[in-house]
Amino acid sequence: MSTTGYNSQNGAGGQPYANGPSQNPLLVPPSGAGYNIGTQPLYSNQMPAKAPLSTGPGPYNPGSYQMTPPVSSYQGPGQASLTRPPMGPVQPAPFRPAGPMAPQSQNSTPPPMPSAAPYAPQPTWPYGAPPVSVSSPPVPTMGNHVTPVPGPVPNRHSPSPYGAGHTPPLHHGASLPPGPVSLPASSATSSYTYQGAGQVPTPGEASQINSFDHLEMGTKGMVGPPPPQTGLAGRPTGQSYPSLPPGYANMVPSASPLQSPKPPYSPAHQPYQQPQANPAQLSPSLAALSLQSQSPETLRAVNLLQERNILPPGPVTPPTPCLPQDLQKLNCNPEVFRSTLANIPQTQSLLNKAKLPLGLLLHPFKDLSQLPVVTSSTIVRCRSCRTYINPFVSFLDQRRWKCNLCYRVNDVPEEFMYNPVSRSYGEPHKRPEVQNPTIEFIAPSEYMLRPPQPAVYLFVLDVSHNAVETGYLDVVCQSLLDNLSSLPGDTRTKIGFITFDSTIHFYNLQEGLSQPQMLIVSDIDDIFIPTPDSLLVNLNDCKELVQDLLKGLPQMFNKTMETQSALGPALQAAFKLLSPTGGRASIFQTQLPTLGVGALKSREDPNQRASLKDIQHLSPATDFYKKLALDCSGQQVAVDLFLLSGQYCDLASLGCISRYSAGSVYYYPSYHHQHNLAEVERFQKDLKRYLTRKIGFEAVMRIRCTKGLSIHTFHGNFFVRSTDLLSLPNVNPDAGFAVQMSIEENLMDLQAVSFQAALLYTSSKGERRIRVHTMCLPVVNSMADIFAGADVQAITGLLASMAVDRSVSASLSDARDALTNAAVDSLTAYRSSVLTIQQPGLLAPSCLRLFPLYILALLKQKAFRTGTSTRLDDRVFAMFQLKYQPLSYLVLMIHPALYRVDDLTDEGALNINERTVPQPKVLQLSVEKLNREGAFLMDAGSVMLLWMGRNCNPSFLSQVLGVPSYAAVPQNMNQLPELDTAESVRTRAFVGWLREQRPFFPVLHIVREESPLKAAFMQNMVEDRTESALSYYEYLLHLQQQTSK
Amino acid sequence: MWLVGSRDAIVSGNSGQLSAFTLSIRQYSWICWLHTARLCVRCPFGIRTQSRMVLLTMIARVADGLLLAASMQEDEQSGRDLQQYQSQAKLLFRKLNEHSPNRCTLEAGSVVFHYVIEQGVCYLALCEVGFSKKLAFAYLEDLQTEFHERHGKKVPTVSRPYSFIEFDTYIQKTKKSYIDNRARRNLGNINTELQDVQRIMVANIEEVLQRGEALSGNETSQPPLSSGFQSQQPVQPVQEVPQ
Repeated sequence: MSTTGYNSQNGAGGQPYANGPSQNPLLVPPSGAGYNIGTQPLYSNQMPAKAPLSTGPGPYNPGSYQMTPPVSSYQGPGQASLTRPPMGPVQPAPFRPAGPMAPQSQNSTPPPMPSAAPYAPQPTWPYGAPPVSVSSPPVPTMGNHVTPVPGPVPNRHSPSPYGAGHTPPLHHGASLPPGPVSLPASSATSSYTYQGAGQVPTPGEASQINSFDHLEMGTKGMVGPPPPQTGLAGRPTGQSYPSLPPGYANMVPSASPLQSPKPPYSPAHQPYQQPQANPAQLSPSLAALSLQSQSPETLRAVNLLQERNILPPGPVTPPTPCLPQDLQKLNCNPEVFRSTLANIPQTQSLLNKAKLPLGLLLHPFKDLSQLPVVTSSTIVRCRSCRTYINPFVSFLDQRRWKCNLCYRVNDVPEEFMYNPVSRSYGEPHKRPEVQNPTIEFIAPSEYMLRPPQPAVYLFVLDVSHNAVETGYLDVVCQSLLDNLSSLPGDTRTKIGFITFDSTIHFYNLQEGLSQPQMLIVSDIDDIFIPTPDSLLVNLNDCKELVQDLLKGLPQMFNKTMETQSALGPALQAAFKLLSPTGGRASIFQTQLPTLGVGALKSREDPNQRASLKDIQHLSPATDFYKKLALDCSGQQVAVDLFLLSGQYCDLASLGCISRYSAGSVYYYPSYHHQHNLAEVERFQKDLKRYLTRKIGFEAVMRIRCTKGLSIHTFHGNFFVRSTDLLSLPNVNPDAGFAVQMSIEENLMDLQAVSFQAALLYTSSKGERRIRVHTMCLPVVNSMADIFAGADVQAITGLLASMAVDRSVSASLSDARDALTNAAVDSLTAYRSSVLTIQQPGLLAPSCLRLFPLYILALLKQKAFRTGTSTRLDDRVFAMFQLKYQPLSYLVLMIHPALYRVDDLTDEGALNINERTVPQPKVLQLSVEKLNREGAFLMDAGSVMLLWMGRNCNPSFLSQVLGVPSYAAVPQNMNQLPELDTAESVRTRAFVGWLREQRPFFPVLHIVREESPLKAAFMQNMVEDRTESALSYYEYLLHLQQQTSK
Repeated sequence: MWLVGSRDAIVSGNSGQLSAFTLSIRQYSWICWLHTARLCVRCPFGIRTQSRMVLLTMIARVADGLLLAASMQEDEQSGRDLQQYQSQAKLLFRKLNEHSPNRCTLEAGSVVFHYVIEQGVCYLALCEVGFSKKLAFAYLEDLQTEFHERHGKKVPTVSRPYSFIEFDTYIQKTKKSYIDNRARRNLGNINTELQDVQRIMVANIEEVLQRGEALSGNETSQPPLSSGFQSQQPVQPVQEVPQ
């Protein structure tokens, strides 16, 4: 891996990804962790005249909604700052025409999001067929289709919390068919197991270090031309399967049968026929197809200037691809894998014309409640492109299957003929691999370059004076003590500690010592490991010593006067210590590093925080952290950074250590154990989740797609090895990824394309596993169909990632313009290409009606806002989050949900596990919606703010908060007391329900009129005008002006 | 245990580290809660360590070559790329069968593989050429005994590679008691038990792997494994090197 190599893909400082890739993949699915709350705001157009809210600070102009404000007016109230039209005229940034681009070249040029066609290029469509959208059932949650298996020796896994609790037994013994003992691994062995809740059993660990390329993911280019096949399926189309065995004949309708049965479709819709459908999936009768005739609700034109009431009553659901129902029900859960366009355009030019970004968002290691696991001595993959067999392949007959990515015809191995689920022979299409879009394989030894590594955890703690002042050591040590036995792992788990200030301190925890021994290395210019064997020790054997250390550590440095921080050398030490095995290093840092390699200087000018000019210093000041991260990546070491600081720490530089090593970044601004209890609580909760969540080691991920499509830019935390292989020394369930795609060859002959993400990792129990997600999407050839499948959340997520890259590679204002242009361009394209009747106003298809709102919310987000004082580290951290959080987490961060909670009722409530959960409406984020008598809950994903009006309903105060009056509400209240009143029960049920939908624990803050958090609350009121930004209505007018140009 | 400022620390430091030493003295006051806190300086003499430990240990099922457990020592000092040897070992496992000799030594350049087959399980260790052969076999016997007791019954039933990877913990501990140096004296009994170690067959790994057939001890049906085997002589490089 030459350095240049990295650059091209990982975009370090800047240039790398031009077109920003998108963010995280997942959306909010209804079932899972979605944060959606259905509510529905209806308000009619009559706008309540100004909002009564007295509380609203002046700046928010409730009236903004009136249609009156002339566009130009936005400059008004604010301050002078607004000289520039906020969303400037979009200069078409230099996009390069999206052509078939060589992947690298693309990276180097970030695609400009601006009006031009940042996204993949597509030509026009031949026919504008009527939009067809399918209303098929929501995505099936995974696992449901498969019945638990009574395999030969099925092991059933009862769900266990992941974490230490897991039990991994999957394999033991279970998998073997009773047979002669001597042949344990015989072919018949495959066993199929369902695993329970979210964790995957992880017994042993294995790992392979380096090049997994050839092992796991296959080296073939995904696009490689399929070797000419024998007469059979030479062509990629789904139709030509000449000879079908009788048994299958009924199910594989060739093209012609398909067409006839579908009256609803106009000829233009052939694309929806099943592409090479797997016989297994095709229902004999094609009746299902008629479903698709449903009305194109998603395309209904909405005049945004008139319809104010655009927030959906419930969660925003991703569009359903126009696939036959039986295929769709086998499709991957959109929370795990989704595309910005549920219907893929046939050509790049068509895509270009639609002006929508094409990309995928993934949450590959999401905690799942059910996951089928297969143990098999051979994993069936395409011999040409190495795709794993999946529900969307087609069986030509019992002995041959055709790859849905490269169309090569492969043999069905003998072993695959036996179905452990039904215990029957001769039904390869009923195997779990072909019935589940998400599945996990226990990898055979070919997928290991070395024995699976153990779980290895190294904690690197800042113990300088500044760190001790914040008091964070107590929390970390206590949290570790509490969760020591819950760390994911087995009897091989290793743990170690390093502390540092101006020197590096190691801790000898060797078994047999009466107490921990501290080893000080003061030669920070040439770091070495004082005793190689006893610094990382077996957690089981040395637990007492570890506990002694954790109990003593917080006091050890109480009186230190050392103010320097040698972070760079400490990281080097961590790297050296972990190199032999790989593992996870958790860094806790509280100040700018000042000594040794990697020392940084403050680059932030506080006077520029509210600048309207471009923000400087978004890129790293040194490449030290990136280089070290790449070294770490090569040795399977991931570095997670916890930054607790009141001062500028140059997160833009420090963050590189995690970004390229597939780590995570956590940031607690102004952390102090006494002065900032809210942050302390958040830190505690995050740590608990962090320490106990599932973890995968020495992982790699590869995303494959059907020939003709090309993946060119990746977003997230990882290092790109060999063009399309992501190196992930660690993978965690809170990591999201996004990729951008272009269409390199016309997909004319195809009815559908498939995408497959394969994640090879070593579980904390030393098992090598492969988690495979496969998604199938239809190919369409009309603009209407493309728009009908536009996924507004995924698009927003992808654009946000692209905009982050743009901010770094070009400038923040460039990125902001690009965001606005993305909205302008797509709406313009919609107006000109899809709308048949031209109407006045700003029209958007129903599925994109939230697009301008989301874009505006992004522009007001910490990452991209201007004119509002934003600390550089806060901004950079927000950018990091946009890049690596899964889409489902991101949605609320971009556009929080607001509920009125002082008048919760049981009307329309959900009943979950005997609990009644009220379902208040989601309100628009405008001060106009607030009122003095009410209490409002804002759910921003990782934090919840409960704001109370000054005249808040006294019964709410007493029944829910347990205080006699508004004035008695404590300043730092951050939880709801458990009162025995109906109101309290309802409120807690609602808040608890919101929290249950995400794996981490959002802290609740009670916000009073004068509390400091009120600013945070008000800043999320994205529909209102602020001193430096437009109100939603003004923004719409701005868009309208741009689109009508 | 050394205390901060102990003579040893100074002695082993070079001039460049003296300033560091002073620094840590200043810290002494708050470090002393740990009675054993110690200042570390790099050993200036750069003793090149020839590995006195087993480099790689692997355990596999003979019937199909399925890996059961393994332990790799990848310390920086050895600097060896064990990957290659690991692959050779995997190939070897596939070639073993019930006719293979129970004890064998296979040379591979500067290192040798020693293996023991018992109860359908092969225990293999990779050592440097100079490593005591007796010690290596004693080590393998030790592993064999323990592994068989812990997991012997489950061996035929598993299908996942490295199903007993947790045995690694035992391997790592055991390895330390078979370090080829003075500590060996403590294992005097082993020497007597394994007097006949010199008679163990010796072959060359490359030749074995290239033959494309299962390694077999059946002289009548197989060509001789190597000249070393034919002559029934212990091979030179495998002799013990006094350390």
